[in-house]
Amino acid sequence: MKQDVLRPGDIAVALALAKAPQAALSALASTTGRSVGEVHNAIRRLNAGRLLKPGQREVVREPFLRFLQWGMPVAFPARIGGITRGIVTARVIAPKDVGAGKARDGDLVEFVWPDVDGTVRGQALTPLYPAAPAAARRDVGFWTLLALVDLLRVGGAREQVLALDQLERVLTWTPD
Amino acid sequence: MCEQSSSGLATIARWLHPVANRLVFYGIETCRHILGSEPGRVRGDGLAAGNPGVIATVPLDRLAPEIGFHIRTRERHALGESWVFPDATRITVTAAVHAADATDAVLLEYATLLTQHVTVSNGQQVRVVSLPVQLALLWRAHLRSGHTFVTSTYIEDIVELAARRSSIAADVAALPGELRGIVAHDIAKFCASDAASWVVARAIHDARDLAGVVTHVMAQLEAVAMSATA
Repeated sequence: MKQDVLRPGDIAVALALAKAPQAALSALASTTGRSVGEVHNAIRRLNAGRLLKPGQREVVREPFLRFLQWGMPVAFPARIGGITRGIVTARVIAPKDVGAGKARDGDLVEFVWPDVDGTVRGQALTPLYPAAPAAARRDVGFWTLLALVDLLRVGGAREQVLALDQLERVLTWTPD
Repeated sequence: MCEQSSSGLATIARWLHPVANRLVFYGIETCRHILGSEPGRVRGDGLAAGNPGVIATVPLDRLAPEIGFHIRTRERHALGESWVFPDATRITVTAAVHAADATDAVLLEYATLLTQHVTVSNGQQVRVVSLPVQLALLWRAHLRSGHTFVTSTYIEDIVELAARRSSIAADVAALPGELRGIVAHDIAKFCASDAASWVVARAIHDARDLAGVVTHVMAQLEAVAMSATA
């Protein structure tokens, strides 16, 4: 028997589930940019880690937020590189950032996921999982979540408070 | 110079312009403004900036009416007031004459005396608490916050200050004895804590990959602790 270990992409699946608990596997795969099989395995590992309600696809928000705060920087430490071109991350995605693709060539931001199509520049931050930049480009809401998680990985105490506050707002929001 | 912090400070200075001669600015944003020309990149300026604060040399009830038309919300709390301006800029205002205890009274008095003038981006001059006194203010704020070393935002600000100000130990050594006592209170305890290097590595990006940066900053903090207790 092998020990279950959470993988970075599993966190993306948990974020997608927190946003849409009833979503089908195919929808989750489309949101996160992972295959249906990978999403299925991620849900199994998240269940084993008790980050989902037993037998359900619903994230247990409080423990999940605590894991994001204290577990992410330790389990998936940020890997920072040199100044490069890419997509904005590790910040609260403001409306002006959504058009980052239209930003003036050479605009400098804090951190970016290296990306050939990105036009802003910043310190390279390795994405949580390889498909993150593509998934972020497809869904701004999901991009916001990934960027906040990166802020938790890379930021200090003040940035953590800010990121957690934003994540709490998004993850505890329930549709009418 | 850090553009974001200087523009934030400029915005606040503009709102407080009518009473600026009775205010002293403090907070990590103002430290970054002073340290702006020094080499060395610490935490990203685009990340969360600490809320700046001001110390008033007169009672707040005399000050607020003069700019009352600018203040959208005025909230009282134990240590002063929070003022929110129409552009959602929020500042904490503390009156030097309304200190919570004797230590705070000493600290606030020195904070209004040991200042330096800085020019913000719109050309306006403001008085800013000098860096070693800011260190003491940060320590008091940390102690009051009740946070641990690991969760305290003020400790990270102290680390940033120690990392960027090469002469910080000499600055602290030159402080009056009462202020050095405040700084000495916990800084040695922090240096001895097993979380210290972890906090330093989190506060300074370069320290994650370069262990020497942690060693350097820890040496700076230990020098501050020694100069404070000397």
